[in-house]
Amino acid sequence: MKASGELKVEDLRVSFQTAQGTVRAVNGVGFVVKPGDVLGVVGESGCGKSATLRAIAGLTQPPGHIDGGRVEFDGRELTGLGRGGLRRILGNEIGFISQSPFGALNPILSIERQFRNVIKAHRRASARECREIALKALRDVGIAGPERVLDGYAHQLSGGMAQRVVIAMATVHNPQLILADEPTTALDVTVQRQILDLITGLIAESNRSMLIVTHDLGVVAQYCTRVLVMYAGQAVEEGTVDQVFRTPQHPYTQALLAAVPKVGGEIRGLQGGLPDLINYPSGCPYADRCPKATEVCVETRPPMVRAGQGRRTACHHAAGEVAGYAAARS
Amino acid sequence: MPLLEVENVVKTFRRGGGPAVRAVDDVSFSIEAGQTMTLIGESGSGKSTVARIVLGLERPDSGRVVFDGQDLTAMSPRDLRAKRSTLTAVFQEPYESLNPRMKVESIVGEPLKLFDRTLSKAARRDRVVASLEEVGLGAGILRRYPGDLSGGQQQRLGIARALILSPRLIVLDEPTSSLDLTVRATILTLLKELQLRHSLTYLFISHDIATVRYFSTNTGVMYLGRFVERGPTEEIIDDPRHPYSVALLSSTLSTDPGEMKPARPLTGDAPSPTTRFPGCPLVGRCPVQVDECATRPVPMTSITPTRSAACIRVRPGTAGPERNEAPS
Repeated sequence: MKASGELKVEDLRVSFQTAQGTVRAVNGVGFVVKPGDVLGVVGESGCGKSATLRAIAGLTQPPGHIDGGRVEFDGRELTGLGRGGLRRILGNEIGFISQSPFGALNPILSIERQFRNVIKAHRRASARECREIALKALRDVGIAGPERVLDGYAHQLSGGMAQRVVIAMATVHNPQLILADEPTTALDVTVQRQILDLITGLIAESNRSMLIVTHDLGVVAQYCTRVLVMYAGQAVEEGTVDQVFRTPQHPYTQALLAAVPKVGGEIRGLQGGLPDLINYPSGCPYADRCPKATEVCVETRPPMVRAGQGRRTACHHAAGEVAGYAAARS
Repeated sequence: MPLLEVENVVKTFRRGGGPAVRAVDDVSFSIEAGQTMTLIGESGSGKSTVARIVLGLERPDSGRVVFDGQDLTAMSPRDLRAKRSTLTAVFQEPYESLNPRMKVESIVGEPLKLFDRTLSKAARRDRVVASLEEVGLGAGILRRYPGDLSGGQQQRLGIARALILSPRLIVLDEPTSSLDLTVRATILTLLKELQLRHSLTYLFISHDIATVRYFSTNTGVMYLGRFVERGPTEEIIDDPRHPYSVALLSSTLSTDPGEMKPARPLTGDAPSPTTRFPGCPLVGRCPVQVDECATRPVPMTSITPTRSAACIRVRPGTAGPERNEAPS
């Protein structure tokens, strides 16, 4: 049993160099994932959710650059560890599941060989031991004929099977924290639920935690305990799934939920687009699309502040939002 | 009389000397004018191939596509092309379906150039501007390139192009699946408005059940090239009868945190598209299958006056509890 692995992200900043200038992709994001938490990070294209996840996993590559902030896991700062130190933690204490299983698997190595590489990266084991460990890991993710899978190659697997193999590899060292980047977006819906049941089952079993980046509000509503809503590189709202989905405080969260078709209900879209992420606005990034925006919104960026038990919102006008939203919905 | 009737359409693809893939296997449905028919199913279910056949982009091996009283499959390419002005399409990836080197004016005006050569340049521009205004874009973007526009604007452009010939039927092939949620909502509401304003008929291809409910009157569920169930959208979503529809609908995740539907999963993944099934294509994955499912062909059969399903375990008129029983 490994020590309790709390993930703490503080004021994370990531930018990308482009020909047009420096794009501020992640602009001061902070949150905590406690053991047992399944935190969903949601938002639309360009909100910085994937850049946040990749920065935590040490996968930021040029033209991307981590400009500042701290990522702390289990009391150790990951941002200052360097490649070697990070490698001892990633894949071992922190598992990573990417969007495309076929991107994560090597097409020219057998699945057994890839398992062996993953296992030997963090412990001493003979080839025979590696095979035993891999067979058990594959059985744990519900693969009935694990021998055949181990002897084969990625292209022989269906999408659902390949993602199961990736999950088995990502969890083979019993990581305390799993980072998942849109883990079911590439899969068919009838397979999606099997995979999500599987991953969250692994989490619940041993009080591990998970950070899952997704654009799918259904995945968050049904599988996460907490949610962080991002917009234009910033966290705008955080709370339990129930709090945020039932009484959203930030106008962007409200707009996001209003865009979901509901039984017998109408839907509302959002006009306009993201602010310029190169000349990042000094006020609230949502101000120019927000129906409640006033002068203070254009001038001053609202910080994430406590807005009730266990929840935070970054909006100058969030006070009284809950009552207003509940009244409007009833 | 329905505006579009698709009758027993079959389409087989064969790559090289390889085994044949029956992409569309005996599919039939019809759409009344002014209504929306949805084809729903996972990747490889054949829904986009049906759309391409309706548009005349693929010729079916057998079966008929009757549009506005005329059999499109029996028409010469020349007559078919003329007919195409009343039958247009909006595709999934807006950017991929717009020529990046053409300006907005040429993109939206191109169908007019092809179908109405007598139109003067000025008259054509007026029609382009009118079409852009219909979709909430202004004359201000006439000289812009698709790459200058956002994803939502690009899709509006695709809709403007589909509208400019005043079509009667528009095939919407996953028009919003590459768009963000808040943009998707603006496009869906726009398509609904346009349908009302111009009495448009839609053939809508989708895999997003929440969108389908909002958008369509009738739905056909496809699996491995076949229809497995067909009927009014509300009924299919609220009370699916075919085991595949049941599994598909139970796997969609509600955005209401308190509302987790019980899972009715299928076993395993979809088989290779070259697999031939003498009986039901769901054999091996189905939770309620019986021995004869593997051998007995399952045609679409009426279960109520408005609904049909292709499953020997679904009996006409039953309220559906049978699907919950374990096979004996």
